[in-house]
Amino acid sequence: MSFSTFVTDKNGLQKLYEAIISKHETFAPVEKFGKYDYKKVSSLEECDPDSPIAMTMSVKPLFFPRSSKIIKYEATSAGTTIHETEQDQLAGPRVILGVKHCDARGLQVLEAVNKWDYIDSDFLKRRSNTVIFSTRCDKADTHCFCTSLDYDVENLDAMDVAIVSGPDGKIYIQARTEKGENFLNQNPAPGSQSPAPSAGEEMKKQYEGFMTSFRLKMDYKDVNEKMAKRFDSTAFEEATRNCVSCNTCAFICPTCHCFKISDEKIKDTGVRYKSYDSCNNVYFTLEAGGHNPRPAKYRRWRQRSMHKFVYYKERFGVNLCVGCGHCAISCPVNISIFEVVNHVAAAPTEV
Amino acid sequence: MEALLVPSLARIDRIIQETPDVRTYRMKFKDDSLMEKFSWQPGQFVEFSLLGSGECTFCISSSVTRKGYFDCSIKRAGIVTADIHSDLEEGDDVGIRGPYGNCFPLEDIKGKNLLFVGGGIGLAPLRSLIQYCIDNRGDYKDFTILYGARTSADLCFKEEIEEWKKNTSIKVVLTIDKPEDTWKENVGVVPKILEEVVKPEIANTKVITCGPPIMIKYTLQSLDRLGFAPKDVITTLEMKMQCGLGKCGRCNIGSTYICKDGPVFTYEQLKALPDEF
Amino acid sequence: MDYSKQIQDIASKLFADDKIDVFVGYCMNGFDDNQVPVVITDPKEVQALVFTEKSVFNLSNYLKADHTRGKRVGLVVKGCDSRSLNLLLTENQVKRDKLYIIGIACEGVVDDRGQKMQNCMECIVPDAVVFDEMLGTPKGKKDYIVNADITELAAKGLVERREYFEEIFDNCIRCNACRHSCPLCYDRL
Ligand code: SF4
Ligand code: SF4
Ligand code: FES
Repeated sequence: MSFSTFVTDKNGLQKLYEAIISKHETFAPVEKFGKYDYKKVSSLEECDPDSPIAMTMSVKPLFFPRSSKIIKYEATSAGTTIHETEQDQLAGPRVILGVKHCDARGLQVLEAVNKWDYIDSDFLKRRSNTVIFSTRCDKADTHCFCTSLDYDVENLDAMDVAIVSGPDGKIYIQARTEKGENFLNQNPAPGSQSPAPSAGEEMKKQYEGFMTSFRLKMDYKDVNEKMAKRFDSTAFEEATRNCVSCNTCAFICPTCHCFKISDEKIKDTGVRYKSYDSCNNVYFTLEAGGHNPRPAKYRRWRQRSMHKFVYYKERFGVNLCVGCGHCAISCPVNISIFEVVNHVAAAPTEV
Repeated sequence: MEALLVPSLARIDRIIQETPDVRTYRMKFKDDSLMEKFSWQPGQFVEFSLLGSGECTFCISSSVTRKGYFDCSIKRAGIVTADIHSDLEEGDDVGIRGPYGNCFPLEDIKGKNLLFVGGGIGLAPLRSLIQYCIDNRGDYKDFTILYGARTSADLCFKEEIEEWKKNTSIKVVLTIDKPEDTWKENVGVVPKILEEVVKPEIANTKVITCGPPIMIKYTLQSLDRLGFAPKDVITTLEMKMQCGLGKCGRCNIGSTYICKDGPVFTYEQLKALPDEF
Repeated sequence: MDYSKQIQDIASKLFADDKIDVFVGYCMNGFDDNQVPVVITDPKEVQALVFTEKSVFNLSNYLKADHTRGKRVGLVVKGCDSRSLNLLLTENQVKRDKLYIIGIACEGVVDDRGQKMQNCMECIVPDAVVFDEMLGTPKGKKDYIVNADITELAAKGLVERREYFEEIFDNCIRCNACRHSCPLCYDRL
């Protein structure tokens, strides 16, 4: 099935966004203290779908919340009762504007782990009830390397609708999935037209210009292969020495999905939470008896980077990193996964 | 929300003090129809929670062939297990999710000699299989249980061991690390007794072993020396787990999910994993 | 405030005299004009060391890490860092005789945008309080001023105070990162 493309201008796109916000439950990047996070919005003025990639938090929490309630319970001498928690606020139907391409890809990558064997229907339902509008960046940021990874940034189908800019203020609106196609049919962009035959050429040009703006480039296949052979390399230690184990990199990452389950109980009533956790956390694998299979920081970092570039790939066929660079931007000591994996890949095999 | 992680309530029927720091909790689901449907294979585990303290992973230490209840044998080790020991009483409710994980390779061990090698609390996962095999005794040939602990007080399931001893179709060998006045059985660590006293037949035998990491390490070495093929040695891993569903990432060793692909592995499979357990 | 050269010299000498195994300092991050902590074990790397008003990070945190445990460590501390180090010393988390401390008489550090940090404006002990060697001219202690926010909080009753904290922690996502990377907590890095 091939999907439609429309051409419009900045004004037309704004009108489309306004129409969507007025008709649908809509989420978009909202600024607070210089950072953008996805929030429910009721007007276009509140948000900025073109928020800069480096300052925009991942959209992942709208599908996999940072902290969510599993159950509420009462435990008294009379017995224990478990209550359902309130309705899922994220179940949609809804539209999300301004998702970055890498971030949308992150959700696609996460589907694999959420639907193998036990199916996390909450996650999948949230995604299937959401229409994602994704804007392709025009310029890479300092830490971006999305074009170096195992997905075709130009033709990605992780979003439902892609927005691509062309020359002379032209803006292309492309359906990338059936859901996106249907949505655009029901919500046409005011004043949009079918594109001229040169559209494909122009979008390609935009993409080529975008490609030249990358500081970071790598060959992911080479990295996958080399890392798999360097489990015992000292390079992990060298590259991550100044990490302070704050776990920010994992909490900010669009593809990290480790979580913990914890109880909070006051007197007789309590709540059980599912919240983010990270393999960089020293307690992550610490067993009750005191044994820890990954006692040293470099071992935890090895797990983190190998999981992303070797293990997940082995298991599910994709890299667990989309090259968004958020980890490097947010790390207090500027450790970048790009540099870690490339440092390891470049290290000698024998130790 | 988070439907996969919601536990069901079970009631503790009986608490058996096995050793100074191990207790067996016998329970059944409060919902009878749930208990009726609840079925598991030896080697599988559940997520057991004391509401308010947290969730922990324990193997089911009884067999599905003993109907109407299931057991978890819990050693006091960390914060949650300490709470379980001090707060849980008979008649109390706990949360249970499961059963999860793979199980002992029941087909592979049919028609074979069985050698169980357990140490300390490591007998708990084996007990589920031992009970299962006893209840299907006709399916197996020789049946040997070698069980050791630091002291005689640290031996779990003492009453049941007495029953096993009375069963003439089972050979039971017990050992403790250091001599004690009233102790009539073997003295010495498990691997030593394995080589010097049990002297198992190699051909057509499957070894099923579980115990503290150090015991496992030396037991595997002596099984190697005795000539057992790694594929005939089966063990179960005690990794830290959280979800049991292959989602939370906690139990990953390489690309293996211990909670899904394990916790039961042959020694051959274990050798292929990165050394992170 | 630029003590880069002095620190490089001191670190070189410490390595040359076999007084330390590891040196913890700051270096450039390699892509813009900000700095990151660096843990040096190879004397050849000391040339990378810098210290300016962009040296923000508290290095005493690294005394809890694997590569410094039990080793002889040289490190740089500003006034504030030295006070957290002092706590680790008092509570016996690190041994004083294993450390060579370069204290800084600090003039305040700046954030990513070059703005002087709010904390530094309120700092009353800018000079390092524990050191083997001091760089810069000590300014001595300033008068103790109680932060306005704290005065306000202290004036609240128990219930109000609880409400205040509940409101603040409403945003908490239970990541525990504050604990993991706290220079005063004993969590190992
Ligand atoms: S590891 Fe870093 S670059 Fe890769 S997806 Fe996560 S945050 Fe982005
Ligand atoms: S954000 Fe940086 S310092 Fe924090 S855990 Fe990740 S790599 Fe370590
Ligand atoms: S215990 Fe959560 S993935 Fe295995």
